[in-house]
Amino acid sequence: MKRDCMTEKKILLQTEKPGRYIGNEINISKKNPREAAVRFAFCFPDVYEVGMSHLGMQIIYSMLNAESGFYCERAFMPWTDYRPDPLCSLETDSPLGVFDFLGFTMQYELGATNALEMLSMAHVPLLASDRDDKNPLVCAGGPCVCNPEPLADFFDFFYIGEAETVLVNILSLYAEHKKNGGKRREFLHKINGLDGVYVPSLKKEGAVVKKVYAADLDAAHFPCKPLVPLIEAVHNRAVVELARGCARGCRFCQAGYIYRPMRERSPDTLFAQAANILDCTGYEEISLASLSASDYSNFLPFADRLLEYTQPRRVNISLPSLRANAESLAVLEKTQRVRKSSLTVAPEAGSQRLRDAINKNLTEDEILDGCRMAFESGFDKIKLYFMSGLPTETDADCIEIARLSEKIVDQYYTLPKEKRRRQVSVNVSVSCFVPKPHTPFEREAQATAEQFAHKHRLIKNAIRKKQIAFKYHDAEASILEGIIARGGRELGRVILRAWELGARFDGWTEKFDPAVWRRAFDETGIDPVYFAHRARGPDKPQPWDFVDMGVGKIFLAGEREKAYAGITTPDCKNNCSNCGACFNE
Amino acid sequence: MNNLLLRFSKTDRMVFIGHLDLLKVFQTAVRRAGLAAAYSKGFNPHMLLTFALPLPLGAAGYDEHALLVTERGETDAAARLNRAMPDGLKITESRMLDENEKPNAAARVAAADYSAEIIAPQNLAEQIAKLLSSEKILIEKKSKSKTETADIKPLIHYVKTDGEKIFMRLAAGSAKHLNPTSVLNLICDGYADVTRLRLLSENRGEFGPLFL
Ligand code: SF4
Repeated sequence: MKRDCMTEKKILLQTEKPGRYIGNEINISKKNPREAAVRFAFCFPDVYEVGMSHLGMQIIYSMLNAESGFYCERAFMPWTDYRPDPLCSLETDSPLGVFDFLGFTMQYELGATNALEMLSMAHVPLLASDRDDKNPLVCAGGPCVCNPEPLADFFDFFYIGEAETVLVNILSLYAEHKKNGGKRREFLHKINGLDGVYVPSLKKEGAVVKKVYAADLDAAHFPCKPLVPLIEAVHNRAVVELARGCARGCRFCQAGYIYRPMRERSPDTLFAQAANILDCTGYEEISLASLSASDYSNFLPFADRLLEYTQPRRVNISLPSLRANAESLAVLEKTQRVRKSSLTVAPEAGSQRLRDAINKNLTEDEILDGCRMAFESGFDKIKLYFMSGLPTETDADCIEIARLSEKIVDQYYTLPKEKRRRQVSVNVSVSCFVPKPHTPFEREAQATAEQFAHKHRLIKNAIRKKQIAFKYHDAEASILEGIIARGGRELGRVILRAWELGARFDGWTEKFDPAVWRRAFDETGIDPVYFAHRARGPDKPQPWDFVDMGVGKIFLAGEREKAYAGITTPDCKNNCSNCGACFNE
Repeated sequence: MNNLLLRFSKTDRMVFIGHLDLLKVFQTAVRRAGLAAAYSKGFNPHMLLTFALPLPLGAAGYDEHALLVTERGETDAAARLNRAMPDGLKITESRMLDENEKPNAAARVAAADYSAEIIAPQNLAEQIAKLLSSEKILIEKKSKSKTETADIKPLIHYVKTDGEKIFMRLAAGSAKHLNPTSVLNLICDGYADVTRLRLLSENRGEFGPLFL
């Protein structure tokens, strides 16, 4: 064995999980990089186990590699115990600097410093303005880029919306361009103005960038031979995507608006994909992904049909987004080979008044009935998700979180004694509301750290039952998330400074250091309070106004009015409220 | 009961995959290959797949053994599995055990042969001679609660070198087991690249293969 090879091996073995850095997965794409007209490195700014569980990565990887002229490889953010020099792709160990494209997916605002660190490890200039023809084109997509401005300094271009609709086209244009010896500048001019493409360096006043989406999910590419990691990922399971988008219109939920309109895959397509994926992965679990699985039309007949296939093969069906009602519990009962003892319910707000304001169409009776039925069918743990700091929230609303949780505990004791085998436990988890662009609450002031602390104290002190465990999320990280989500281009200076000061893995509680960010704001002279805690008037322009995500501004403003008036908006599956997403042609 | 014996090698990048993950890789490979694996009964059934002896993380293995209980006699299992395996895992032999062969891979293991490479080998022969000349070879064994000293000399069958590499036969298995790095730490500093060459059973003082 060569000596440097042994040194490398030794270094990897000293890391927490060497399996993160070796690739070699089942269904990996093996091509000769020299024969590829375009080399694309899919870059995920978080650790391997997180990235490998991300459906978007699997879609893009499979879609690009289905084209004979392209080779898509992968790179993930190494954990803090390993800093390769340079950062290389998992497929062919190629330094990222030699690729034509580095394509990042920005799933989470606090992943920004990790993206910079990956560029730095790749020896690629961090600022788009510093790159030249020798460097890869650095681009990004994902939900965060529906306000691309805070990241605009670092990326040559963004793809806004669902990448599967534009990426192949962009890469084909590039292949042509490269063959003719074209320069990067000319290429950026060429793609500027395509639907879904935003080139920050060519931004024109008044120009609108329209998101792209797959109108027909049955025709959209789906990875039927997904990569199977060799180490434990966040999820080790097959995935089919029932639907994209959500018709419910919860007013705090960015995903609920930016992925509109709601589209479903047909049962036939899903069934064929499921069978295929299970065969070539060997997984023992399949997840039915969507923002709200129980809203899928004819969910029960589809679940039954799938069960007929999965049961003899010892495959479990998992349903990540189920509402707690009789129908869903019936499905759960059938699909879970191994009975899970814990059920998750997300009332989001404690009082009916506030649930109406945020348009969480869920009544207290529905919540209590759902929990009682869950207890009856053998669950003895309930996880409850709430948010604090929602618009219009009062102290009384916070205390209602405690009351509702206690009523849920009481439901358990309505069961006859012989059915109460164990102590019931209700875990209450309270997160901090973050106003996001392209939602009705995009212009709200976010609560301050002190206000969040006050709310959390109120809830905590109001809980009197020992069966309830209370947990809340870190307010400072949520406030930073909000600042980056709604910031303008000047935020790039803060992100860069924070990275210089050593900020990494800001989305990981144990790594997030608010002091570093405070210093970064200080040194760049940018006031975080201005971005976080100021109510933005209805007429003031916002950094993301030029991005058209389908849902209209007037509709959003109207939804905000209705929130303050406590008026709900019905589910739009049968009751279109003219948000604009369906008529955006 | 049908017992499928699988002999395999684990090399290259797969040395970075630990034992529990390897188990999962095998399980999904068995399913991809369409072998009729048998499962345990009960609420949480699992595939009846066992390994003779886990390999330490970082070590390659050339003669590893696994046993899979199957619903029927399987032919051609090696070829089918190899199509489903990642690079670095290779089934070198597969066969159904006979009725009279006990499916007890783990219990058969008595010793293992290793080779080890060192980044900068120096005076290996001398070091080994010195080590073996002492009457007792004491090392500290840490467990959860306490540290004990143990004499590992009886667990070393041989240690030798060609000047570049070290070759060892050490006690292995559930009864008496000696970790190769415990010995290597006494001979040289720093990182050693370990390969497990074969697993051995013992019959009246004679070492031989686990399964004939
Ligand atoms: S246009 Fe109507 S149906 Fe379409 S997403 Fe908007 S509210 Fe729903």
